Amino acid sequence: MHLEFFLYIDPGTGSLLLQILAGGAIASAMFFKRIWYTIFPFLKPKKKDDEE
Amino acid sequence: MQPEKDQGSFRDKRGFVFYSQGNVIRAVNQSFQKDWEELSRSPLFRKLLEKKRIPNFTVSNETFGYGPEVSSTALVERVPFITWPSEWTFDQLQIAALLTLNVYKTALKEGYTLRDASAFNIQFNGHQPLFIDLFSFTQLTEGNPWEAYGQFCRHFLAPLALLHYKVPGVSNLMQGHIDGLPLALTSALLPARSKLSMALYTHIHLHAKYETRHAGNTRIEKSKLKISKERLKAVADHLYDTISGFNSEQVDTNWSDYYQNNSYSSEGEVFKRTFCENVLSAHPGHLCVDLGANSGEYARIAAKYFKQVVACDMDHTVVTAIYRRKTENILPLVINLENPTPAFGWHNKERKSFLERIAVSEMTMALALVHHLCIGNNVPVHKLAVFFAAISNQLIIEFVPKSDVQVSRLLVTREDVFADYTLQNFKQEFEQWFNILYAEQVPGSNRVLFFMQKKR
Repeated sequence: MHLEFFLYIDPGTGSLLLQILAGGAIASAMFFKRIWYTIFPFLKPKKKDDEE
Repeated sequence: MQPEKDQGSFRDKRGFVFYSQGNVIRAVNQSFQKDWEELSRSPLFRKLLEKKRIPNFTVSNETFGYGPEVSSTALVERVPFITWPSEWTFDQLQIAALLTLNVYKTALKEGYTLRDASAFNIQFNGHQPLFIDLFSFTQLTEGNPWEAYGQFCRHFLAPLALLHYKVPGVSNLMQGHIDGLPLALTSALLPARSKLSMALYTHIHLHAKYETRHAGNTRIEKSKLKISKERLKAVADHLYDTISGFNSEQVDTNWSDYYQNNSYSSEGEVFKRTFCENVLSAHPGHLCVDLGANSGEYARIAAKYFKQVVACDMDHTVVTAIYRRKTENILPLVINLENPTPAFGWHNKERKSFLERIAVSEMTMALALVHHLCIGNNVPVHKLAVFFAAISNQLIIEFVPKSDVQVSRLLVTREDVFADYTLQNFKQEFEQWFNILYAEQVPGSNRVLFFMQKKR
């Protein structure tokens, strides 16, 4: 249904591929970071107000 | 008769923008009507409106004489002055990028996504950024990657990274690339040490390589490329953290200390402020443009009497300083009057020139500016008057004579070929176009302040 709208800009295959790879890498980096901060909570930086 | 369509909204098949009696209206095409109804009432829009991230709007069934392709309209809160990303400071581009990511992350949470992430989707109401493209949202199909990821990197991450690493000439590059800076170009311009940043290595350098390597690749079916919602959010968070961490340190320029080191006595300064205060308070309005705003001192006076003040200077540092004061109705911009933003994009009409945009203002201020244009840039006084007649309706302008210390400084390195640069000639040339209402000499100097109105 949304196909026409999705093609509004051409995202390029390379860009999409990289996003998927980056998504995987970043998600796993965050996973380990979370474990790290669970062990050493005092190392956790204060989060800026970026939330919705 | 159908009202005038906006020249920049023709790409979208879901609708378009037009103007009617000073209002900005979005027309919703038939094909988008059902989705729009859902979207406009969605918790996503409620949230974004509450947080003032998108402009207010009122939906209506009136179609303003457009044919059956338009099924409804939305009257949208008007942004007082439209700007282009190449005119923003680093701070403004950064806050625009973070707003885009914020809006995207909120959309993801509510089951939507952004179809595009162009910097042109952001406009400033005073110092406050707004995501103006209400039609950018579409329902998220689980598993689909973010189609606008590359566009986001080109429009926001690339110029911000270049500015962070102090690569010069970024605003010119931005103006020359309407769909954002090509990543291959950005990758080539960034210093090698930027590859040590995981974020820049991934989102710029590697991204550029992937774009080139897979250009025109038809073997990979795009529909088979999948990514989970959690990972989409992880990418957005990563971009957010990266961009928040960028900074562009203040660099001292000869402008920043102009007010501490200028040619007025304090008496002269008080006189100039009073002159402006008197004129501005007697002629309040919607839009005032301060050209050569410097520290923004006079723009702040104008802000008391005008709904919106556009404070322009060519010096990034002073414009940043004005922006950081966060005066609600002052919109500071980096503009070089010797070469102001031209019209660009499709048919040279998609994005209006700076001069066309300011021509609608009721008041123009040009204080301590004309000597830079006439002596610094060899503009004859005749052409100066023609210029101001084209962009202003009412004008506060200061004539700075050759005897002034600031002009002598400019003349040190130049031959004095400016025989036409006299007070008498200045008055004569401007009187061709304007009625001079006041002309007063600034005490303790030979400068003269004018207030004039354009002849009808």
